[in-house]
Amino acid sequence: MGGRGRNPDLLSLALVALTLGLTVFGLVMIYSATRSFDLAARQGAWLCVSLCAFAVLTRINYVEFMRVNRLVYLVVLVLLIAVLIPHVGKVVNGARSWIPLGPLGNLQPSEIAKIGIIITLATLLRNASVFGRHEVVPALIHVCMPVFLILLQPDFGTAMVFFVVLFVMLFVGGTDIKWMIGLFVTGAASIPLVIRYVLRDYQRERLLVFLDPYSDPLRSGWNVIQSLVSVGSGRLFGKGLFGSTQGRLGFLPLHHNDFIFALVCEEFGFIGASMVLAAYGAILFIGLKIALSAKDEFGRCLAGGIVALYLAHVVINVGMVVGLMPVTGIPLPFISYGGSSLLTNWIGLSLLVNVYSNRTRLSFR
Amino acid sequence: MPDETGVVVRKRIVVALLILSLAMAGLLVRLFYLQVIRNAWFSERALNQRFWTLYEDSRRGPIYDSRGRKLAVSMSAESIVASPAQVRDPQSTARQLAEILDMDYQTVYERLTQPLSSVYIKRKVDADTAQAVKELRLPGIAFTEKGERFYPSGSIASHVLGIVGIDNQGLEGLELEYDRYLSGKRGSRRAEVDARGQDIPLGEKEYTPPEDGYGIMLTIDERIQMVAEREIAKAVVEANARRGAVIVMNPKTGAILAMALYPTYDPGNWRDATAEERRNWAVLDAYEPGSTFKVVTAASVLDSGVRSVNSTFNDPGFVIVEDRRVRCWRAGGHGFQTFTETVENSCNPAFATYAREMGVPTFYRYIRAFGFGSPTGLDFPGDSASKGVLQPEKGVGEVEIANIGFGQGIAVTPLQLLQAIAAIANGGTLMKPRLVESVVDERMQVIERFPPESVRQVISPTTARTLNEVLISVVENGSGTRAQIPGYLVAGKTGTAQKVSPTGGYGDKRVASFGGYAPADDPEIAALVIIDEPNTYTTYGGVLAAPVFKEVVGDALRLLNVPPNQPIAQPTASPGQTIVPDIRNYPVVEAEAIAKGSRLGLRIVGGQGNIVLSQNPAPGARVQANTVVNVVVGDDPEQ
Repeated sequence: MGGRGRNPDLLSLALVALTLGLTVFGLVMIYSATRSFDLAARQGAWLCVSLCAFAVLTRINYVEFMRVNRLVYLVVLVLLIAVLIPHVGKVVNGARSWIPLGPLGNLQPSEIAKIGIIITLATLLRNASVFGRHEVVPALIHVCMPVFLILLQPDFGTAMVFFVVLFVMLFVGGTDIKWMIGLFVTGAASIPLVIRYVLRDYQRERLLVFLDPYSDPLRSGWNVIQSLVSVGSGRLFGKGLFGSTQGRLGFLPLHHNDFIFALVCEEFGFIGASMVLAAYGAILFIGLKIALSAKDEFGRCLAGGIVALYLAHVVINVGMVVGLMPVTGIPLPFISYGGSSLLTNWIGLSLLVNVYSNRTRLSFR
Repeated sequence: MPDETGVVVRKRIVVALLILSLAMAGLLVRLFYLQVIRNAWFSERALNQRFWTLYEDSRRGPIYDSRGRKLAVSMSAESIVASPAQVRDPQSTARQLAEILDMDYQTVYERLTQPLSSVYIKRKVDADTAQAVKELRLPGIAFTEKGERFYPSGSIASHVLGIVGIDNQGLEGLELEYDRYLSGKRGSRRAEVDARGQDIPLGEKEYTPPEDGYGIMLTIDERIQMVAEREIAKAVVEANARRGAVIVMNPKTGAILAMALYPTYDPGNWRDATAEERRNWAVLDAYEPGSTFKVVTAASVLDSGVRSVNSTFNDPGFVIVEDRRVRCWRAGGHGFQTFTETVENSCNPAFATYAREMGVPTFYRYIRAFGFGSPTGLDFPGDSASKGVLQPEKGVGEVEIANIGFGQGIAVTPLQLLQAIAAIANGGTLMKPRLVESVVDERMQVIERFPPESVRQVISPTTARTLNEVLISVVENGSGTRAQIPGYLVAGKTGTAQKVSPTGGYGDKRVASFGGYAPADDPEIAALVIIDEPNTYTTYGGVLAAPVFKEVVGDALRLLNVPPNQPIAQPTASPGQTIVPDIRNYPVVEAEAIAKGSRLGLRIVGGQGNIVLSQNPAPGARVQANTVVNVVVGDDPEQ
């Protein structure tokens, strides 16, 4: 049993080791996908920024974040509005989601928004009581504002992640089960409406293609089919590091980015892919343990929110790669290329470690 | 201090853990399914899309006649292929190609821009054109060899050889039947490409050279085939007939020496001919044989012992079968005849009686034994479906059997009929007809041989000998005198069958035929001549078909060096008589002069053109002076 206060111990160490391992592995995969040091070096630079953030944020008691809660929410909204302004925000792949930052590449405000909203939402839900509409309705409104801005970019996948996080945080926070069921039913019932009014044509097409990739194998179905071919042709042991033919010959698109897990599957086979999944499983398991051990409701919601964030990304991304989920531009945490995403996930990690360092002492029981 | 809320929250976190585990397990199961259970399918897909394969045709094997003369050979011609992904400037490329290849710009442009890894721009261009395109060094334009079929002897034996498609595959005839020997194995070039179809310079490459096909050597003798084609063409034109065919066979081996059909077609330009024109109806289609079938009736009645060759028959001009009258073609009938005379006279009442005397089971046993109602086994596509039409035995009554006795109410293919006639020539043993003698490699070494096959003994050798005498007599004294070949003994039977009209019943269309063999004392050649729907002064097989037999078989015997063993009567002219000169193949003006020199007149009775194709009376005939020679004219057959 470690000391009290800020002392790290075995669980935190394991968590950081796993995460660092995945991030370095991600750098190697980005090199394997692009065959140039260009993007891998840029991602390395973002890792340095992330490590600095980690060092700083683990030294501040997480309870302090509650105080700046309004400022964080404001910054999130300002960034999300700023990115929508032409000349400030940059359009890539049809969505105005990036703010150019010179040599570091681009900042993706919707990524930073994820961690910001987790902090402010945890503040909102911090009162340790079985709560009902007095918290649920404000929480919904709290999340819907940034989600609305993100849908304007448009980035439907990220917007979806916010709702998953909200739902998990309410659940873990102890919201009355009737309210949970009500929310779930409302969410499920609104799916047809969302498909009809919120989704764009190309997104509806992706959904159709998800149901039958061969309906349009050369255009919309291409990514799904090529991803499955990459995964399947990796077999049990994979084609070896740098051995991917699907990525090298350009059959698999976005293989340094959204589809990087397909490359992992192709090069390292079922053995390697399941090891990566096991690493995520371990990280999420530790995250939930940290939530259990949190000394207050704020810490518990915070940890729960971060676990929800990681879980949503892993399931949606891997699910897409193996053809169980429709194609959305959701990155794989720590591995996919993308600085903002890496930074966000490392900030999340520092909060987990922080919550654990300030946990309740079990010896009191 | 755990309060009520704390307990709820802890439970919730455990539930979240469970859901998390389930989600991860689900992803693992899916990965296992894709990577372990279904991996072969995906691996193959990954491999397939990585390689671009261009096939190279093998050289198709040649077809030789029985003496090694080439009837069909393949030369390779280059084809121009494009891989659209590698074409840099489709517009200018299309313009340049369209000009050299004499093609439409739009067509070329469309092919160049198709979303395929490779497309044919033009197949089979000549060497100069290919060279001109090569000199342009256009990116994305490549060349591949394609085989093209050439026919050194022109359209000879086209109905036998059949045709070859654009991808070197046999489509009809022997080209199809022996495709597995002739086609060889195509070769391939495989190159690694990326998702846009571009060659990877250092990627994997693989080349499998094509294997050339074997040649086949036919039983057909090109020389006999040429004679047969010439004679049947002449006969069909002279008789103004719909079509005609001659099949020549070695009765001892079943080897087919010639199979000529007219009208014919050019296999090099087979698309100009209809499927109907290309159809080898002498093998595939059945007709009512009429009197030539009496050979089978005679063989059966003698072999079964129902009648002897010494029996007699009195023909009053008809015979009554149940409520019908079978009439003789000759008004008033032939009167009292020997068995041989009934065959010479082709007397229908006699043969109706013979058939009835045998009865259905016996006659049918012989008909089947002769091969009617079953395929001949010829190595030709469609043969197995060409059985002719034999009425079911149960439905055959007195009237039907009487009709079959003289060749009506039964349909046979020309080849079946010849096979049966050849069996009589072969001492009663039915031989399987064959078109291919052997499969050979490029140095003419035999790879596989197809030896003669006997099917069965149909009639005893004694019966065959007896019948042989009868059939010799038909040619010596009966309806088949025009089939006589100087120096050789000929046996045979004529036929003039009525054709069933589309409205039912027999119409006025006829099939004139003659089937026989020579030398009758030791047969080397059997042949059947069919002239379908003649439209001239006569329709008699003895007049129209027998002379074709005489010419074709006579030439065949000489070409095969079968020595003549019969005295040749030298015609001498007495006063007031003259010998008809041979004026065939002369221009009409010259022929007229020659005829005049022999104190004969000349009259054109048929055809169009300025060359004499045939004459009547025949050359060498002794006639009264000032007789008019009827000639049929046509265009110079050499052109």
